[in-house]
Amino acid sequence: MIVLEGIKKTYENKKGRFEALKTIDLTIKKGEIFGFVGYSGAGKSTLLRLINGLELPSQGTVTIDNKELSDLSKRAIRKERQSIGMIFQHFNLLWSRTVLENIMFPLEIANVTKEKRIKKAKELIELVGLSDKENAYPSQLSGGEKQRVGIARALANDPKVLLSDEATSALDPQTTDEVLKLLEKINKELNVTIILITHEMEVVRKICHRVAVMDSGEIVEEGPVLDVFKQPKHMVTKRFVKQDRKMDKKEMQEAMEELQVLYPEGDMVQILFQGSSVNLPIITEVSRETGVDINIIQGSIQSTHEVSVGTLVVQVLGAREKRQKALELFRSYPVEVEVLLNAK
Amino acid sequence: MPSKLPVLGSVFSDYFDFSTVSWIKVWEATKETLYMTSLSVASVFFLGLLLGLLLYETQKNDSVGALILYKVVAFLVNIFRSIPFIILIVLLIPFTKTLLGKITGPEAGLPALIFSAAPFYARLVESGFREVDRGVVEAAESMGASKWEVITKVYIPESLPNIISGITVTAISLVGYTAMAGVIGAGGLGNLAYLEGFQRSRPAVTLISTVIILIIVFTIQFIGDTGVRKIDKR
Repeated sequence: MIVLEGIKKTYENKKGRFEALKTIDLTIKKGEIFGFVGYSGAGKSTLLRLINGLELPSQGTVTIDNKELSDLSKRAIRKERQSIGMIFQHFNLLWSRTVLENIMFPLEIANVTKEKRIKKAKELIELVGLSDKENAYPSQLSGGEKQRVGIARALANDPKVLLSDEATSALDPQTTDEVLKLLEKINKELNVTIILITHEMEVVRKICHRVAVMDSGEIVEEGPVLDVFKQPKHMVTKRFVKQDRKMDKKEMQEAMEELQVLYPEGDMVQILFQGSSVNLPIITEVSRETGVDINIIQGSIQSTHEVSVGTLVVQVLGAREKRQKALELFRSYPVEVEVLLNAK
Repeated sequence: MPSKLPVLGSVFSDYFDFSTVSWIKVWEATKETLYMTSLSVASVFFLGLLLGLLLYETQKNDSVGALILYKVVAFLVNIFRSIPFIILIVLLIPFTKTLLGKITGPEAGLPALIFSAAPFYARLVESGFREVDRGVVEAAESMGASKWEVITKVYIPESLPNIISGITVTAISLVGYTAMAGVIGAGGLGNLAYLEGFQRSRPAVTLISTVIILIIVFTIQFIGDTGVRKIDKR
């Protein structure tokens, strides 16, 4: 369990003071995948580096499994870091070492015997699926392969925590998915707590259990991923969620305007549904019960690590009272309904 | 003009009049040059590496002590790098005399050779270290590596191509310096070319000295280039 209490981090130089983090209080549970999302400069990187003591807080405490980092000597912090793996956006592999040697690197630092080093490194190469590449140099690998080496290297000392610093930001969408699946597998099979920072909401949605949204050094929203996705409260969160929905706003706006001309008596409604409600024949039922016509404008489904979340944008056509009734009926289902545009 | 042509012809033939060459002296001089070069290259390599490391480490550290140390070292390095070699030799004569008890012979050339080349190499090492990816250093730190481990396991191996090509360049200029030192009395091929070749008017000796020096330089360049190609996996 990782507890951050009253954390502040201020950088001072000749030009002045810069508050990178302002009062962070947070608990990350053992075995969970916790995501920090925010735009660059929000303080995510600093926060991540507080957890392995690469940065020390100006105020407040970082406690990992009841051990307070600031109480430890430099040597003890280094020892502690061996149980916290870290992966990076640009992989940060040593070009001078082969895949096998890169993975053995943290084991050398932990003074593991050569025999054990090789054995462990080979196991990890197997785990990340790079068995045929153990003697390749990083320059001969693709981005996804490099990140797999990075992950294997981070796992070498059997860490209890894995820190991920934008680990998928330099990868293409498909490779990102592969790396995320690997992280999920590691979390499940090895029971490693994963703390990741990202600016891609998609990453959070796909693998995180809980998320904290950061903006200018503060956590502005925090909670289970599904809740945050369904009901984003803070403006920054809303922007992230919207960005992830990938609804092409301009295109939809055009479609809505067109339909409004064609059917001026229609309401534009967005329906958000999740999990079991995906299976309900909501549209047909509402249409049948109230006698309205329903035009489907746009629909999408996204999967989070536990359930699917869907979005449907429809146009409800009919007389005013019928439309009113239809809306009420929609709201009686376990879905979220938002009227985007009222009929003229 | 017609009178000049035969003169030119005789100069040309003088260069190839190998009967004037004492091959034993050439061999002795070659050994002296190789001796001076290899000893000075080895010393410059270790000293430069240490100085380069010191420069790099003190520069990125922001404590006052480190800053002063950096300024002092950087000042000395710049001074010694700027003094023309021929003047440095003369300047160091009293120092060499106290240190070795003599001012002639191959050993006597060493202090000046090392003093002039080590600062130059230190700068090359420093810039090599600066090129090492900060992210890789951070990765090593995140694994719990100590400062010493970061130096030996990250900085040195990751900047090895620069370290090797730097010592190659330095070694080549050291060969040139040994020839200059030779004129002043340190022996070697420079000495041979000057005393035997120039002062005794035996151009063939000068030519031979030149050719041997070229061979030494090309060999060093070849070894250096091959080494860099072998280790550079970027």
